Formats: sequence, structure tokens, C-alpha cells
Amino acid sequence: MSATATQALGPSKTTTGIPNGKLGVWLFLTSEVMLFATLFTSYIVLRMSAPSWPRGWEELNVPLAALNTVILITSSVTVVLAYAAACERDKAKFNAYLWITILLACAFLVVKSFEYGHKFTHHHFPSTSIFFAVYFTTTGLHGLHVILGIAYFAWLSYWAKDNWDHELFVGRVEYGGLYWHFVDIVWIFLFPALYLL
Amino acid sequence: MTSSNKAAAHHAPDVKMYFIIFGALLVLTAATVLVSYLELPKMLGITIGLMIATVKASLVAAFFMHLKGERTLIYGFLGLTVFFMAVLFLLPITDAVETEKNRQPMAVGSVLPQAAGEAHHEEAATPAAHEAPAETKKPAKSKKPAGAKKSAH
Repeated sequence: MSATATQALGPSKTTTGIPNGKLGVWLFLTSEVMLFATLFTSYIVLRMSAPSWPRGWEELNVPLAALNTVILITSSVTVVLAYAAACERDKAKFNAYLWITILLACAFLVVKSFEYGHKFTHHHFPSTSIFFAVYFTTTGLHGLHVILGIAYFAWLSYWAKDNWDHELFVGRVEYGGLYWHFVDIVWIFLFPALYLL
Repeated sequence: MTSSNKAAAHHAPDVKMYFIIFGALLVLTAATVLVSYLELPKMLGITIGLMIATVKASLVAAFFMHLKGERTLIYGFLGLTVFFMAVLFLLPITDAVETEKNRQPMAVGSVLPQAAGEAHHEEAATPAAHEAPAETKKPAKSKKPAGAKKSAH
């Protein structure tokens, strides 16, 4: 019974040549691209119509954000290395890389919370100015995505324990990675857009 | 049986390439921070910053997300997304440029009080409204609520 259940979900049933899970994740990511694109558009419109706009580095902490950029890029590498380990069937390596990824994601949030805390103690809130409204909205939504990524990877490491040989295992590692790289790409654009330009 | 299936469904990892891309991403991150310290002219700085970001994002998508060697169907989806994203970006920008253009006659209009001074009896705002009703429409609208606020106080 479980065999038919996995077959129904499994990678073999596809007419596109792409596993259903992967197709679904890519479609989800395209919708995510549009979600962040609306925020970027709002940013462009607000900034172009504002009589003046602060330079990002005068208001925000560039070294902390640069550190966060390096952290996220590194986590992108470790998650793709976890995928490589999953393909090579190296369980210990897979777990190590997955947990390094989770730790790096948490480190990103810790740095971000320092940044937020610093802003709050200086009475910079989303309502302070349009600049800070844009800053908190975009980085806040991105932060939520980071939290979701941590939750997925934590679940994946738990699920992988008993399902190492599961037909969908490698796919679930790969799709989690796809999502995580997307979160990385959003930050790659947010960092210069908010802090450097 | 399933192993051949898996090989077709999932991309073969290339660990050496991942590290090369990692190095490139770190270098580009350093570059984008350094460029921002150069205090280039605003538009040039924005162009360079966004170009570096686009290159970084492309590297991540091509190698970490294995878009290099992905099926054409996914390229199709992404192509559509990029198209609509471009529309989403460009429409408001053209609108903003249009408003910017409309602002200039307004600047000329603000010199008009001189002409109003010649006309003596007329108030400064009225000739401006006569001369360019289309151009003054938008700024006038945006000014009204501010005035209304003041009177409310």
C-alpha cells in the first residue's frame, strides 16, 4: 500500500521530464520572485518620488550587512554540499553540512536582530521615515523566509534519520536547497539596494 | 531501475565547481562594498552595484540551483517571470519619469509670479493654472491635502 502511495508521489509520474516536486518548487519560486519584485518596485517608486533620500550607509550598518552577506553565501555553499553528500550517500557528511547550514542561518538572524535592536534603541522604527519603512518591510519579509528555511532544514534532518533510503530523499534535499539559494539571491539584491546605493 | 531514474531527475553535484563559485561570490561581495566607498556619481554607482548583484545572482542560480543544464520548461517559466518582473519595474519608472517631466513646467510656473506682478490684480496661482492646466494638475492635487491638514490643525 505504501509502495503505491510513494509511486503516486514519486518522481516517475511526470509528463514533463521534470520531477513534480522540482517543478512545483520552481513555480513557487517564480511567485516568490514576483512578491519581492513588488517590494522592489515600491522601493523604486518611493525613492524616485521622494524629495530626498538618505544614503544607505549613513543610516545602516554596512559591515554587519556585509558579514551577513558572507554568512548567507557560505550557507548556500554548505546546503549544496549537503546535497552533494546526499547524492554520494554519505550520511555523516550530509548531516554535518545540513546543520552547519542551519547554524549559519541562525547566525544571520542573530546579526540581523543586533541590527534591528540597534535601530530600535535609536528610535528608528518603520514609522520613522519612508526609508526605514522600506528597510524594515523588505528585510523583515526576507527574515521570515530565513526562519522558514531553518524550519524546513530542521524538519529535513529529523525526517532523513529514518528515510535515508526514501525515494524522495535526494529530491527533498535538492528542493530545500533551491528555496535556500533563492533566499540568498534576494539578499544579494537587498544588500546593495538598501545599504550601498 | 530507480538509480537510473534518479540520475535523470537530479543533477550530478560538482563539488570543485561549488568552491570556485563560492570564491567568486566572496570576491564580488568585496567588490560591491569597495565600489560603494569610491563615492561614484549616483547613477553610475547604482548601475555598477546592480550589475554586480545580477552577476552574483546568476552565478548562484546557474551553479548552486543547477540552472545550467536544466530543462527548457523551467527556462520558460523563468523567462516569463523575468518578463513580467521587467514590466513591473518599468511601468512605475516610466510613470516617475513622466511626473519628473511634468514637474519642470511647474518650476517655470513658479517664476510666473513675475508675470502676475505685471498683471497686478491677478493672484500668483491663477495665471499658472491658466497657462498650464494639465501640468499643474498633479502637483496641485498633492498640495491640497497638505493645506487641508494645516487648516485642520
